[in-house]
Amino acid sequence: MQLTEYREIDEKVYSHKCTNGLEIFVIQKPGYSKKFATYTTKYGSMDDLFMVDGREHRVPDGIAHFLEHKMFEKEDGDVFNLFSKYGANANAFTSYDRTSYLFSTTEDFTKNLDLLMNMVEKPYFTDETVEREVGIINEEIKMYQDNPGYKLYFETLNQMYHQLPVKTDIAGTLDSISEITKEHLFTCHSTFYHPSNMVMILVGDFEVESLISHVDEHQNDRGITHIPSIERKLPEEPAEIALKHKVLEMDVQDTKVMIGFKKLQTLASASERLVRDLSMMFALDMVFGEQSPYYYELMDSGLIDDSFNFSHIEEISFAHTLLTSTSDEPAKLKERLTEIIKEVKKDEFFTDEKLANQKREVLGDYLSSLNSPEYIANQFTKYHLDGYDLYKLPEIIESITPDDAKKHFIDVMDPNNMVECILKPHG
Amino acid sequence: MYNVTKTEVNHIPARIINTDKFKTITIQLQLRSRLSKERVTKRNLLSRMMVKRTLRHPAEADLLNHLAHYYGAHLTTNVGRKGQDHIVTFSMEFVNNKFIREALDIPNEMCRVLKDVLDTPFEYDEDFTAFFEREKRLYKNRLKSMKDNRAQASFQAMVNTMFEDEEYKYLSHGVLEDIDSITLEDLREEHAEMMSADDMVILTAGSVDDGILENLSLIHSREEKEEIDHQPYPYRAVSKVKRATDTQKIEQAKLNMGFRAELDSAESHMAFNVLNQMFGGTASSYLFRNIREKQSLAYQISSQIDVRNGYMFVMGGVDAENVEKAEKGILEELERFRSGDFEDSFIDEIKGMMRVNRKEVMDKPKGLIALEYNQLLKKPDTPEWETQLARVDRALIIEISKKIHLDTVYVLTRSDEDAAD
Repeated sequence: MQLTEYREIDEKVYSHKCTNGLEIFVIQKPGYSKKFATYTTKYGSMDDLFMVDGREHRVPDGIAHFLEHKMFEKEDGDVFNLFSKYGANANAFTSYDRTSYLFSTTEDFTKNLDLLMNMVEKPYFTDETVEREVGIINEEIKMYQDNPGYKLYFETLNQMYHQLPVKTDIAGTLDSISEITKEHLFTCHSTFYHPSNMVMILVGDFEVESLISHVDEHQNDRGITHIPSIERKLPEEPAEIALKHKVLEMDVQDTKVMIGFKKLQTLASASERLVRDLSMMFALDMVFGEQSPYYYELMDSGLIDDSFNFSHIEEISFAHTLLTSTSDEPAKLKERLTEIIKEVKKDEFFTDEKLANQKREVLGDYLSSLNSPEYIANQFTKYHLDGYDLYKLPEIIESITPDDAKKHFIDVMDPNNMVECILKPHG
Repeated sequence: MYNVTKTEVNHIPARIINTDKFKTITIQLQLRSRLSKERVTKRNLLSRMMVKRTLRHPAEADLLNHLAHYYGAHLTTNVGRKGQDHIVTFSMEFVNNKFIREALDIPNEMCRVLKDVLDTPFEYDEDFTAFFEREKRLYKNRLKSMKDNRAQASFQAMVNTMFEDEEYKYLSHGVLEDIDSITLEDLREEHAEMMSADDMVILTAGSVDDGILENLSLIHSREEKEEIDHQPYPYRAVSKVKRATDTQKIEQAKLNMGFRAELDSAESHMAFNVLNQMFGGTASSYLFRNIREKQSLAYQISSQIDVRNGYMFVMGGVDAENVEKAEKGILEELERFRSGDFEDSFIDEIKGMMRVNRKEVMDKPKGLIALEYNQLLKKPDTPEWETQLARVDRALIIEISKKIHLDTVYVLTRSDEDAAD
């Protein structure tokens, strides 16, 4: 067991690696009644083609999410209800690159933790339960189809990417999930739910040593010694976008637009990606945020409203920036955004003064977020899987310069890699 | 783990919740008045404007830069309701000075900002007109885009049907059609009324010392305390179930049902709460387990209550062909309670869960504040939360279930021409 202390932010982290490869982190939060656990596999919607110990497997789209749903069901019923019986709130989610199972409680933490471990480690799939799940997930897919924001988002991704599975709905399609069999599920489970491909984060006010030895014992009892080699295969993705412009019609009140900038991922190191991620966050805020004159210009000219939103996504296999708003004049908005991008390239727009204030704000937000065990558990997992440390964020924030912000902004916001998707009311 | 100081600041009741576990300090002002159609839309618009521009920071970017300088202090406003009341909340959350490596008196300055926020509308003049018109446009857009959220829109439509001639149908976020006719003068008047007549309370949560009182006294001052009694709406009997259906080009139908419950004591409210959790309030509830998991009749299915007013709402996302079947299924699940067809162990489980959730709320600054504010609104003779919960048993749940009556069924579904595709 190893202890890392972060004195500046008054946080302590204990870590341990089990012999079967599972990594555990315990984050102490003195005074909290709530205890929070996440058990995460590095397995998400993008992992549909992979090699295990030399053998290639292709599985249907949406299977990681499908598997997540099915893990709660066991021979003697739904584990969800057991968590509730033991006084815990349980949940799970699937993203592009991971599946997380989690619970929080103020009582009987170890009992619930055992339940979580057993649920995630011991699969139970039958032909009947797989078939029934198709119906449930199909309703979930349909519900998202009725959500204009979600539709706009996925259409934009499809305009940016030719091949990369990021463009496919995390839940898959009715066709793809209908192909899923229990054999697929067993294969994916034995491959990706192997302890060496998983991480556990526990946040709360704990008796740390006994907690870690409890998990360690449980893991040793599983008797897993073979650590498989997993190789994920991604299709070749060109640097260029797939489709520049698209207009959709839907039963909506107002026209919404989303603009995307694709940046082919070439950064191999985690720290380079983190620097670009933070630089883009600062740069976008400086140019388009509510402290920027451009924001009020766009607002006052009626090109955007307060649904205007932007973000940069930085993942191991892809990176892009998205901007979206309700707008009566999407063409004009695109034109003006393109001009603004040109203007800030020329001028001395990215100043020390602006960046200093942004940094103070981000640091404050970061500290507030550390009030929340959920935030810590989820973000600690995300940063860890991406190869960083959540608690070292302040140092990296400090190191970003105005030149970083400018350089990455110009590099990512390249009009040649820009797509635009417009969602209009019918008629 | 925390202690609460009950006091008054310049004739305004204040509650100081002192705890070490947070890295921030949160200050909240609650302004409570009777909910009415005349007010609700104005107050939404007004409170949004108040947190964007002030006399000392006459442009949004100025104010945001100022807050950013104080380590990204968060100034927000929120509207909600309890019982017959509409509540406007202003919150300021900022990092505790002990995590900052420079001499910056954050609490003092943030209380000054709050004062500025509260005082500014007294000075609304022509200079604010363009800002006011823009905020009206943004507010209209927000309410319009709520209609694109099918679940929210169908819930609103059900509420409109159920409370056709009752004030309750004006949800706390306001009425789209009323926005255009509001003038800046209206807002000035509404603000003056809010500052003089509303029931105002100040609450804080975080690690603070006695100096906080001096800072809080900067925010606002009253000549005397203003108190408004807090009441639920009286029970209205259901004579006939109301039904309404709308169609849209959508994939999934929405089924919404509204119920009214006759509640007469603190225990009956608590039993109503427990019953809702068992019925559809959690993922282990009967609706979730049976309608969604067992019968696959819905992807989403849940119930929620307005516990003070005794209203229960069921919301489901169901396949268009299954609407009637789902409605029947939902009513059968409610019937279980009336006939006593439920496990005692499930009551204990739900009560245990409610205790856990209540403790979890206390791990959040705003959660602690909300509990303390509810405490303040309670009638003095109301038993403690735990005492009430302990008194809820099988007999009481059965009794309450018989006093819950279906009032309205609203369906948003796809039109027949789309179904033919």
